[in-house]
Amino acid sequence: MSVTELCPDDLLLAARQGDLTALEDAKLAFHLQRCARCRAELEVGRGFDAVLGAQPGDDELAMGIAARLTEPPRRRRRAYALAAGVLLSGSVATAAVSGVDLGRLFATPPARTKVPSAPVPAQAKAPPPTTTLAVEAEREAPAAPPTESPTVSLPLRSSSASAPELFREANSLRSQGKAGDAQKKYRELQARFPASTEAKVSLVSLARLELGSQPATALRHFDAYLAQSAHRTLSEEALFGRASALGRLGRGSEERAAWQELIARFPASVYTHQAEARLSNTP
Amino acid sequence: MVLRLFRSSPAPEAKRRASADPLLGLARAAKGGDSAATRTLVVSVTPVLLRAGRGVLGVGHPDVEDTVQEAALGFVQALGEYREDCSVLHYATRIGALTALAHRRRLRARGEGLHQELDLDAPSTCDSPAEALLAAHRRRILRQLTDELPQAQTEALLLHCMLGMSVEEVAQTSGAPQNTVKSRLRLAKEALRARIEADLALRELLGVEP
Repeated sequence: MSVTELCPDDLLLAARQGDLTALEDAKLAFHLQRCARCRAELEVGRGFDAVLGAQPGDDELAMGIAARLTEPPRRRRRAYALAAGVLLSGSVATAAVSGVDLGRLFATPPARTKVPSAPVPAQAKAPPPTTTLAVEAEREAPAAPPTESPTVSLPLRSSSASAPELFREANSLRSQGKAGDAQKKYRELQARFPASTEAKVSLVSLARLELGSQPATALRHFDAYLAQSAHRTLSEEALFGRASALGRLGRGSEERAAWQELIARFPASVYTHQAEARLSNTP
Repeated sequence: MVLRLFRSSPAPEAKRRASADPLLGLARAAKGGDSAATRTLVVSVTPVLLRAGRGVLGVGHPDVEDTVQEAALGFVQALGEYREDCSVLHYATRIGALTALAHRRRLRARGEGLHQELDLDAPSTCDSPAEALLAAHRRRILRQLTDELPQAQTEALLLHCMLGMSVEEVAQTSGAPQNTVKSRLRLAKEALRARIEADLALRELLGVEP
């Protein structure tokens, strides 16, 4: 019997929940030394545990969904439209409990019917995407300043923060949809801690925010990231952003070359489809 | 007699556990058409639907809300088929995961939306940005793996590794024997291990020479 046949799934889950006794901890540590599969599972599982907790607005979202699904019949036109649009998901749910071969349901993905979003309480809405990388998105508004949320009046914290703190603050502002404040934080990080890992990674984050309104600046930041020798973890994203920026700037031949480089370096990339589509549509 | 000794009988045990489920009464009432119970039940299961949607699509993916709404409707429609072999929350979790997976595959077929799966901006409990980046890459690797593995392995991987259900709970929820689930998980985890070890970006983050 190999070590992996004895993989302690219960201990792995308990470790994720922080429920191990000292003895169990020692047992698991001994197993992990020899089992790469369980090491991988634990690392990935903890990665999900770190982000899948409840978020602000979840309760309102739940109540909104429940209200829409149970409102009286005369007001349910939207719900019926939704039901028609999500026939597949209903099939999935029914199949899930009745033993239908789900693989067949997923084998040929149908074209998606766009489901009209029913109204959601304002506070439950997710923040709007802070940037879009889609090439098809609207073209550049010349010389437009970075987009500022009109409601943003938060004073940015004083400059005593460390590089990790600045990076975290900038990311938080960005995920709240406060693109202008996030850009300021990223720039502050890059100015104060230019050699930090956070500053280097933030080049891509900042460039993605700039792509819509300042593609030339975004391009400089994507290029700066790609020029680094030691920090290329986000190269795929940077190449995609670079090609998108070149497209927005109307630099056709350079854009083509950028898409080709992306496909050559990351042939299995999730961006490949868009790259190929762009290449076929660009003279 | 010998047969009875050796025959495993998970169903009665599962039923006993399910009967202790605090949501079971609501589920039965909702099944009987009680709209107030349905409303309370949907509010109660939405957190696990959100976990599944965010897990499969990416925490900040703009389609998460729509997908969760689809899953909630699918859950209500499937209540008639609920046999109380697992808890209501686990039943909902599986529906949430499969609905999000179907949506992910539709997006992939259209070649859109998946660039948001590197959920670097997700609120995280990681201690440092570097750890958060590492975790985001690992999550992306698992998500990408769900595009390639057989359906049964994908389901086991999502429910167990992503959403934290035990092997026994996965077996009860998906109606498969525990040994079958273990076998599916073993294959899926091996694929995950191989993918993580082969991921150059992750090696770079970890400071390991290729």
